[in-house]
Amino acid sequence: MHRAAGVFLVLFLLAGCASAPEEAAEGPQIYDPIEPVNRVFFAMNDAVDTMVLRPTAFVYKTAVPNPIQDMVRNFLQWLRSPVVIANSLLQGDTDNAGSATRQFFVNGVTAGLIDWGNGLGWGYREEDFGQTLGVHGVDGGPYLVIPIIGPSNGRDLVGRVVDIFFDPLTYIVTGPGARNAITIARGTGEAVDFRARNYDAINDLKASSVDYYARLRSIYLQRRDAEISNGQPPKGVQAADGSREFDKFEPSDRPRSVTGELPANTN
Amino acid sequence: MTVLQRAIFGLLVCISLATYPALADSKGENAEKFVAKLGETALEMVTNKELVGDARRESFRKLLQANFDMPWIGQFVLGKHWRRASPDQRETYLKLFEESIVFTYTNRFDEYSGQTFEVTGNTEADRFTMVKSRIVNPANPEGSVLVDWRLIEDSGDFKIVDVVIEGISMGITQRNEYSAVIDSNGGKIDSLLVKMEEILENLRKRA
Repeated sequence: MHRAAGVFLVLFLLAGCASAPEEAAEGPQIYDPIEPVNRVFFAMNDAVDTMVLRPTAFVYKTAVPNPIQDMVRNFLQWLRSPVVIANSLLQGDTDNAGSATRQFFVNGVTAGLIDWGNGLGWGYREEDFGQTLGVHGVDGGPYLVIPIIGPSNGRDLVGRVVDIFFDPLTYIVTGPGARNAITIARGTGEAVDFRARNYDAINDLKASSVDYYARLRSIYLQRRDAEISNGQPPKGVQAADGSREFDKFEPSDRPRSVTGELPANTN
Repeated sequence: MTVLQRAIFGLLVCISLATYPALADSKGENAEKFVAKLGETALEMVTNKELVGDARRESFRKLLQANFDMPWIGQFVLGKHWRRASPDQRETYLKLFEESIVFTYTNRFDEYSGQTFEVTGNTEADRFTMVKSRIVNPANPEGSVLVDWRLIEDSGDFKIVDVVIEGISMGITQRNEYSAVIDSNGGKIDSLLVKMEEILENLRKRA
């Protein structure tokens, strides 16, 4: 119970100081007060990726037959569905909770290894407590890079901890040793599965960036905003990415025209 | 309702029925058609196994220049630093920017594995038109990727100014990344240009 109390204290503090200082100039609300520390952790994670995760994912995706890979993914997704159900309900999204519940029971017949709804439009969105907090108006807070786990922020880190309490496995598995083993195995499985499925995309993303840290930070923050709004831009904001950056932007050399002359020629 | 009122009302309904679909048809639908056609052309290019190396890059560059407002995008991405950049820096920057896009995307052509492209709708957003689309992977129909296109219209011609993949704007991502490089190098624009050159060299090697 002490842990739960701690979580709610953090939650309370986050809500209090959530109004992160906006960058007055431009860019979305990138609030990264401990950037130097984050960059150190990021470099460590990147080394882990290069030395361990990437080779593992490569072997996994080349050596393991596709149907088995699908089963692994289905199983990991199935394990997460109780958390999705709980958070959908907390967001008042009974439709998504219903779909996830159906998947949980139907796929439970085959221990989650087969996704019986695939291709039948039975899908549901992933929801977690970080998103639930976002839906209820909690800002992201400081951007954080967690060792091994990767990009996060204050809100989503709290969400991760709270989601442990929504997970039936937490109560089914007794003894801290077994529980940790399961957490680690699951985390590893999810990481390898994700890396393998996005193998080329992530390699290209890394190879083409001038600042990989800044690129992933931007991607993480935008993606989480999109997940919180379930892909629907907030009211009054027209951009699909939920920002107003494009509305404000005018090419400096052709202020009253949307296209006009090429900037390189006007100087 | 008098007969006259009825007649006027009827007339108004007729006019609105006649003009309304025409209006709805104009901008949004044309924008959709524009994106659908671009998707078709791009798919042809990706699946054309004869098209390799420099030829592939050249046709991609043409497609890019014809359909995207590259100077607009380049300026948006450089953001507040554009105003400070010298004419030489601007020119170098725009060249490097286009070049890195060409190499980044053509390098990924070979990863294509049968995905299809469909346009699903449009919305007006200020001076922009957003066209929604979906990339469907036949191997995993539930996991289709949502792509939004931001278009501006200039005398009947559309140009794309941003691509938003699953809520992630390419323009904003690049802008954040570039400004991080410039800011961490004491605001020097040349530091970004040097970095871009380096990355482009790597991309050339991977091509």
